Amino acid sequence: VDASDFPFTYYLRQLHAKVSERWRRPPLIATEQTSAVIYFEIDREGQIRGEPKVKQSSGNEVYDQSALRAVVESVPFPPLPREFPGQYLKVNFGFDPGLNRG
Amino acid sequence: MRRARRAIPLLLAALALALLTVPQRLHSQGVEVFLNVTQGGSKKLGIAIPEFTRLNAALDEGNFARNVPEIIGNDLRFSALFAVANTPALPAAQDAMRQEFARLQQAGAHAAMHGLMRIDGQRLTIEFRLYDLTNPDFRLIASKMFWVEPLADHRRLAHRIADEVVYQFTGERGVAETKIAYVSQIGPNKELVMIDYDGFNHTQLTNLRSTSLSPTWSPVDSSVAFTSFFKGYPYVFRVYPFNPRRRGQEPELVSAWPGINTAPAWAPDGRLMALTLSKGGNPDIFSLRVGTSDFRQLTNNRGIETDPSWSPTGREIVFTSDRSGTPQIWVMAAEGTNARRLTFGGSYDTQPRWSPRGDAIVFTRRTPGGFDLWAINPDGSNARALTQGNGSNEAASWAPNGRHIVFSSTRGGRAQLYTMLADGTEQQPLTRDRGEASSPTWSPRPQ
Repeated sequence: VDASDFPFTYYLRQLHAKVSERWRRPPLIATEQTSAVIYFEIDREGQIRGEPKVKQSSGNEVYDQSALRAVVESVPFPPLPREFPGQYLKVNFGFDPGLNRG
Repeated sequence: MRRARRAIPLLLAALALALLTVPQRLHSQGVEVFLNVTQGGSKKLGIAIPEFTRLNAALDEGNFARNVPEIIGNDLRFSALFAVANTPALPAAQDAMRQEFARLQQAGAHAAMHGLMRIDGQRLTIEFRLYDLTNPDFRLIASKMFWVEPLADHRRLAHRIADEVVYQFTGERGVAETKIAYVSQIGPNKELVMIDYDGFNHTQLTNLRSTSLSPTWSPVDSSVAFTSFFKGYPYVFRVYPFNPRRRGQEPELVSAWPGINTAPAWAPDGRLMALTLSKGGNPDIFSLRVGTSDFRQLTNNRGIETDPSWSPTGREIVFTSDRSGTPQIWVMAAEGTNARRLTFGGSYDTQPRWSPRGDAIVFTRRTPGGFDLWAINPDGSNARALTQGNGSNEAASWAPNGRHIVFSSTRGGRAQLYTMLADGTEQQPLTRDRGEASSPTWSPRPQ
């Protein structure tokens, strides 16, 4: 049994690249605020199951919505890898303003 | 654990930091992963495409085992999503194959494609297997069987496989199976020509010995609408490039009102067409329900209104109008209401084309030296030059995925077709015809 439950790094790389590319960070938001976390589930065809949710709010509605929109606009994601046995993948995607400075 | 740590490739180090500092945990309900957004453009995915493994002894006269992987490699390079290495064939023994995967991974590949090929008479069959090289277990990402007949269609097979690879890594199919139609100067005439998106399979679509202009693909039925003077007046016709029964037949008439019938543009539903008619005296934009006499006037101005292009939702139309004194880009509702001016930065802006993604409009701007292609957001913000001062650059058309643009340019002398990414990067030549090549239109994906 592998130590990691989702060892497909290529998949996480692609997921990460797609959402990061689609995210438009709202202007005029203080960088010292906490990050938002969006939770969503990807099915085997790369579609989202149900609606993505704000799991952890940044405290700023505009910021939360920009994160939510980045996820929604990134659909469809790549289909889940053949050798992944699950029916879907749970994803917690953090949007940290500090990581995006500059 | 030791194995996993060793496997983190150096080239992925920066990304690994972003990805792996957040633990992956097993919850009783299923697998859960944690990611964090980062800034910066997405890096290309490294993919190795070894020569194919031949499964039977049939003579490979076309050298498909080497040529098909090269075509696939070129398709993936064109997509700008992949860094491709075409490599020698994989060894047959499992251990040796794993060693080769490890070597490819060290060289920067995140994935490898293994193709298994059979030739049976005129049929070429390829099973492709995609492997994840980012983990030392080299797990299977996907496998799929493709075939084509006759062997001469092997490029089409390669394009289908390339589009499947793009799908497996992005969730969206590539555009390697698409075509580009355009106006080609042949002797004294302007005829329509069709090529594969990569310039191969040059096919003449019309032989009307006249002037044909502004071809545009239907989004739904593989027909191309265009304006032609071959009946003496500028009427709109359509041809069906993939229908062998219509080959050699006269093009189907779409619009023949008195005056000009030009600049056809299909709505996303493929039933409505916006076009320019001068039946009222001066050129205005109308929408026509194709195949019926049902039409509607959308603009009514003393100036020239032309070059309509639909938003992907079908709710708006972008067009050129000189109602403000000079040609500028305007947007209106598909019913002709709520016209608003979009461009203010130039003295002569024409040929707007709405991106299939909806988030940009590309257009042609006159400059002191000729013409350049610009893009602007549909709300009028972020006007930016895509080409700059390298000959005249005009007549853009979007690929169906909104990532590529084909256009004509005189940068090499006479007008030829070029492609670029939507941000203006990666400009490269597409045609090298003897006559001028102009007015390209990029086909939708095959249905």
